[in-house]
Amino acid sequence: MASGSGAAAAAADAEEKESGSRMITLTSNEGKAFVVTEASARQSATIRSMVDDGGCVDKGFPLPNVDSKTLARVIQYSDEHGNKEPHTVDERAALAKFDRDFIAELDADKAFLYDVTMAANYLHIQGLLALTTQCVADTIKGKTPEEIRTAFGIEYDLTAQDEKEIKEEDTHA
Amino acid sequence: MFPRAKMRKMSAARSGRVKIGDQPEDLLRRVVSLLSARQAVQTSALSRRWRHLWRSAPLLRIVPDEGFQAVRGLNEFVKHLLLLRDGAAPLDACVINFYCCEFDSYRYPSSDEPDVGLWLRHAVSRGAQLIRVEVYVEDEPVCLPDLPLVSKHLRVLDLRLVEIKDSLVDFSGCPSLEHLKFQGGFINAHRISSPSVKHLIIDGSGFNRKFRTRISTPGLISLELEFWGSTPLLEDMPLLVTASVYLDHECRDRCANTEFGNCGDPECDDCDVMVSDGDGCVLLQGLSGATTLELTAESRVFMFRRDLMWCPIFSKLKTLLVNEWFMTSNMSGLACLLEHSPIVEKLTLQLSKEPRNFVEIEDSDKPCKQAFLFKNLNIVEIKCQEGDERVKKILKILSQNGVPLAKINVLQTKRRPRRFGFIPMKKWGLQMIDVSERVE
Repeated sequence: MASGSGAAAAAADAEEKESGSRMITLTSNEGKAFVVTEASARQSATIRSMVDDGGCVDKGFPLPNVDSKTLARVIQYSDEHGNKEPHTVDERAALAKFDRDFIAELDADKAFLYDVTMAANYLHIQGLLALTTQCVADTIKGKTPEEIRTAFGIEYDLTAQDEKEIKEEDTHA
Repeated sequence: MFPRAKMRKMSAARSGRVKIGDQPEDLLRRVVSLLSARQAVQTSALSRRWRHLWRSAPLLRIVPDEGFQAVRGLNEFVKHLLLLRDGAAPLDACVINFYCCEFDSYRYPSSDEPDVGLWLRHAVSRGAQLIRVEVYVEDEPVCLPDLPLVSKHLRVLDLRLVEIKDSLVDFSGCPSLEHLKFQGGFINAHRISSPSVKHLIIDGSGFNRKFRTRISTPGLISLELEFWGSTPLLEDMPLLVTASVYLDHECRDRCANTEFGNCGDPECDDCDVMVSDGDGCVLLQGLSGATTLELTAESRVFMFRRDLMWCPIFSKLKTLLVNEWFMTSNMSGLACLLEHSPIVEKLTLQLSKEPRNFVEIEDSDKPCKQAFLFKNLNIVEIKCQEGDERVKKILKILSQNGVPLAKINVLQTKRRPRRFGFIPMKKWGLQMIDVSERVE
């Protein structure tokens, strides 16, 4: 590659990066393509590092671990957080409200909440991961083990030996 | 990595029957980390999948909702918790946060003090990168053990409402420590030292009134300092970029009678205990490398004024904010500061709303000894309340010393009915002005 055209391409790249106009295609495990802004995609540390390492932005990024429904929801979060930067108190409040509504909706559908959590974990979207794991933790807080099992549909599979051990630990810890 | 597990997950996802237990172990561990230590331990009774997660949770939180009746119960619990934790599991962070008065049976003084020192040392020895301790005990703060911390992992240390002694604040054994914060409590130490710390916040902590604590942090980039007791002595900080120092009325270096202290009046609370000040410059020398400085003080606190006797050159200073402490002797203090700040671009003079918080300016027609130098100065902002008489005097002195009026911007807050309590000076600013104008 001629160094001149390389530099020109880099300059064009930089310009695009600055204007935030570059679009990135993410493909779900079902082969469905989602086109998002680079700013939105950069919410994911996984994608960010692939882009910065000079990954083929044009070819897009296949995400074999994320289904379309989950990816759509994750993009909803990334768009909100990536495309606008809150400057004023009002904007920050609006973003906080978005987060509250977003998580309240997920909380109502636990299975979907776990999918989004796993996707956030896989894509390294720290803000989203913090939001979803906190939601799960909040469900546990202040409940008895029986109530928690009901809330999450956890099957009771502890053996008599486990129960004995737990009782012993409990007297200490 | 685990195709079969993945397939199971994906098919489960499609059929909408994903269970919480299908989540990878590190995610569940993350959830457990968000719980208080006691609730985390209780998750072991949920199912086999959850049985031992708490032992390797990367975050340990000893926080208020533990539900213990007495300090003794909490001490016993944490002791066993630390014993039963998986010793090989990494501990990233530890948060200890509770108020002893929340214990039903807590009485001060108590023979049962919380073993905070032990927990702190455990967290350090397990390689925690972030540690926050906030323990409130009525009357006297809990005193952390006078032993140095040694950890190559510790990056953030945040100690609130506790008493700290000398060895603990010698951080030579913590080469990765970057963020250090003290809030409230009492730093009863002769020296705080860290070769690595970059950001230091001391927010409302006390220093011993009988001696000056030296702060030796040569790698510091930002500093926020607000305290009671003796003003600490800042050693050289060549990398410093921003600093804000507020000396309030509880600063020991304060004199009701004179401009520079040491009035000799036995009635003057603050002058009667004399700290030996062979030190020369206490604050300003250490701050002299900064680009942005906020120097504010209750006007009777003489520390800045006295430091100007040894005024260093602020060779990188571009933005300077001061409040009315400079308004003695025809603002000669400000003149001195500016004279020693060759490239300062913006100066903000912030006048307190409380007129009594103010040393009278001598009204004189003769210009200051030194004329201000204004090569780079683009703007002078004076923030004050509407009708503040002091502004006229300041404008007069500034213009006498060659500051073009075009460069001076007076931002006045509208007078509002006097409310109970007062707004801390820090909160002043343009935003306040906007708000009051909207009210009008």
